Amino acid sequence: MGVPGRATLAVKSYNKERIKQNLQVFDWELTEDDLDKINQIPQHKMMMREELASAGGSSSPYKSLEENTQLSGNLESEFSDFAGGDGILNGQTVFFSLRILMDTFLNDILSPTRPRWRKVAYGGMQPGFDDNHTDDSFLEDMVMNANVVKRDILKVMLDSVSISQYLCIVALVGLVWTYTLRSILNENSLLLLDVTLLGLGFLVLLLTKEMLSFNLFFRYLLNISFFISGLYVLAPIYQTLTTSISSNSIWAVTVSLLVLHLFLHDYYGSTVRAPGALHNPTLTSCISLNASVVASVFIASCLRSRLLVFAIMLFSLQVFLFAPLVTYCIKKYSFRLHLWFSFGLMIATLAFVYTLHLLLFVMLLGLLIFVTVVCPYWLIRMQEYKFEINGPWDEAKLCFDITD
Amino acid sequence: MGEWKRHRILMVSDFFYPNFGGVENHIYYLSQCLLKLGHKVVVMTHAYNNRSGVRYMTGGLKVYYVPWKPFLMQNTFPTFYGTLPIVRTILIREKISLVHGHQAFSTLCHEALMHARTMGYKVIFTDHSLYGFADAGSIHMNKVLQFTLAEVSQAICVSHTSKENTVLRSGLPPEKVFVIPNAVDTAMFKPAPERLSSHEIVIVVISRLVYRKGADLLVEVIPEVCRLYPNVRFIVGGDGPKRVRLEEMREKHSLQDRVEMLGAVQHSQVRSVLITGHIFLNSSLTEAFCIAILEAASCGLLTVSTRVGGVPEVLPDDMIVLAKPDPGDMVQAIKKAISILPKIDPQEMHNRMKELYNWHDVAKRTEIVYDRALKCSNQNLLQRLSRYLSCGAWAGKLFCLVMIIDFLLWHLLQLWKPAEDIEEVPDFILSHDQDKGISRDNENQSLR
Repeated sequence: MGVPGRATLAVKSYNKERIKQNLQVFDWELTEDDLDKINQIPQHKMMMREELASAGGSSSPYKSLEENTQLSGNLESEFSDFAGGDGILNGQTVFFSLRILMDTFLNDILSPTRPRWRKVAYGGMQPGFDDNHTDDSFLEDMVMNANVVKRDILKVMLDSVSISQYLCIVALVGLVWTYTLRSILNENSLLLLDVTLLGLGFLVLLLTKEMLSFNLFFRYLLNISFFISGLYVLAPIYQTLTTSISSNSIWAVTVSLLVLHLFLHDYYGSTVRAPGALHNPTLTSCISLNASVVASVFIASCLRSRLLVFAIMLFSLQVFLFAPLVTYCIKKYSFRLHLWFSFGLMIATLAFVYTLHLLLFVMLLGLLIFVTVVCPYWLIRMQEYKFEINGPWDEAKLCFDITD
Repeated sequence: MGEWKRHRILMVSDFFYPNFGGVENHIYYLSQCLLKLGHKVVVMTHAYNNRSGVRYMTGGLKVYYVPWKPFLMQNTFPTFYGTLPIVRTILIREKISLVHGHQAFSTLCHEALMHARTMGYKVIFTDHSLYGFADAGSIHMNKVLQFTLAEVSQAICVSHTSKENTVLRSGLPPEKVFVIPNAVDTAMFKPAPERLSSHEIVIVVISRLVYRKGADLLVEVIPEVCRLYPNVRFIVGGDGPKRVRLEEMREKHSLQDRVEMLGAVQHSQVRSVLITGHIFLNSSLTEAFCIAILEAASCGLLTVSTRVGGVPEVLPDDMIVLAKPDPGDMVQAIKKAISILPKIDPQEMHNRMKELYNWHDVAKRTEIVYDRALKCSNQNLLQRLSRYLSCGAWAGKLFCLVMIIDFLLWHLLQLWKPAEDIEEVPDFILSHDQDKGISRDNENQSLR
């Protein structure tokens, strides 16, 4: 006894109603006397006119009556003259009116013979009802999909731009690595790139975060100079780190580390926080960051000049550590700017990759489309399959925090 | 009801005496009352420490402690087929006609029910607990339960909420699920002989001090109530990981003289603790059916409880004050309980409980379920497999595989050790004036 009309989308959320419908088995029949009793009270019919009209809506719970035809059939003839005399009521409304009248009066008719069933466990077996009696109130308190968030496809797509943007950044880093290994980029151009990026990054931070205090700027400068000198001192060590390993294995490890990095990256915020940020980075984002740093070290170790190793390390670390922070600041400052920046970056990356290799270009393009279009659509489609049940059997949640 | 038929029932659960709890109690009292009705009852559980082999309890209740060591929370290690030989032997030796399993946590129960079904026995399952649908543990348990309940003849739940839960989890038709609550031995839980003074109000809490029992709610509620009422004193019985928090709370609010922590309370001592109080406080976060409330009400205490699970069904509205599981609402409920306390007569409460709950009544209702189960038609293996197949895309096939292997093993076992070679046990009849497992008080009730 399926309900036609309620197709795909609604299947899960109407499940409860279907369960209940299956249970609503009327194991009694109306006698002639009962029908007479119903007929004797015409004034009730008039009172319920407004209710009847409202009950005609498609969401009416009385719809299930249509399955109960043999029962209504008995009564239909009794009411046909009443319905025929009134132009407002159509056939369907009569159906509903019958149901309402029946609900109202059947309780009265039945009450002298049968005490009402109560949802209680005490007092032994309830007289007139078996222990497996299933009342109308069965599953009454069940709630479906109470906590499911409705998502908008446009919003999800716009949110996914952050991911595409970061994919492009990583692709650009890969490009710089490749060009350096092919000796197309030399030390000077790399160092120039480092300085430009550093300057641009600072500019963006200063413009968006509005923290132009001299003190802070000085501290940043000091930290960065420490960082850079440390890196310079360590460069010879990086250089000799993987001399005994073939470059193929190094590329393989690097690519897998980058995939791990992308998979665990915290796309929502940035692992390196602006000063004063409240939350500590999560474990996964720390692992992700470390994976990217290790990948950079591996690549740098393939290079033959000390200065080149230093330059590429500085470049990689700048990007992996600070690019998320910069893009995060841009996004917070203005979402529109973030979108323009991201699209610009995507086009630039695609153009660069195109010049390098056609297959890589196709792969990157496919990935970007997958992330920005297919995944959001997929997510929205999957929402329909969400099926969450809550009810009185759930463990109650405490409304306060436990401080251990 | 037709002619009376003597059932031969095997109760299976991991949880039985010497362990103590709701399920253990239920099995013990139900068995005693069924014995008294003239049925034969045998209990099967796993070995507890060196308690292994066959033992007899009050009223000739025979208990098989299967030498199968528990590995986690009194549960035996799930081996699927390891218990088949011993289950088969017991079923044949005792000429069992019905197998009744208890509690969804119990692996022994699930295995025994599976083997019993393979051998064509009628199977009944009682669910004593509630489960959610969200976390991984529940999802796993629900699948296991679906497997066990796939072809159970009849199922029993302890409250209507529990029935709704079981129907949703297992997909059983609701008319196959019976609601038969627990009961309380009112003769064991009598109120104090003389009424307590009303100058000081004592609120009793007896529960394991764990998260699920709402120990964290107690930490919030107790200081607030003590602040509002200088004449209220708390007695907290029970032990658990949250005991430290309660003790911290006591230190922090300097309530050492007003909150007494008893530690673990033996079940035999529960009554003596209960009768020192006026109000019983239950703060559970989930509860299928709270026996503690019954025991307290039987001792004449007014109950204040959280409105969770099956608790609202347990007592009539004038014997219990319900509250949302949140500290503010619970304090309000305790206020209300203190205000109506003068109108409560413990003895009258006890007499009402005698009317409301009775193990003999439970046994009679269970007997009806047994009769129904025996009327169910027998199914051959193919019909049963199709029932399992509908349990899920992957799970269904897995269940079928498990059942087929069980079926093959059973036939192998029949070749290796034919049923004729297993010695049948002679029934031993206990003369009726000897069995006093259930007190006379209840017997009078059952004549009602």
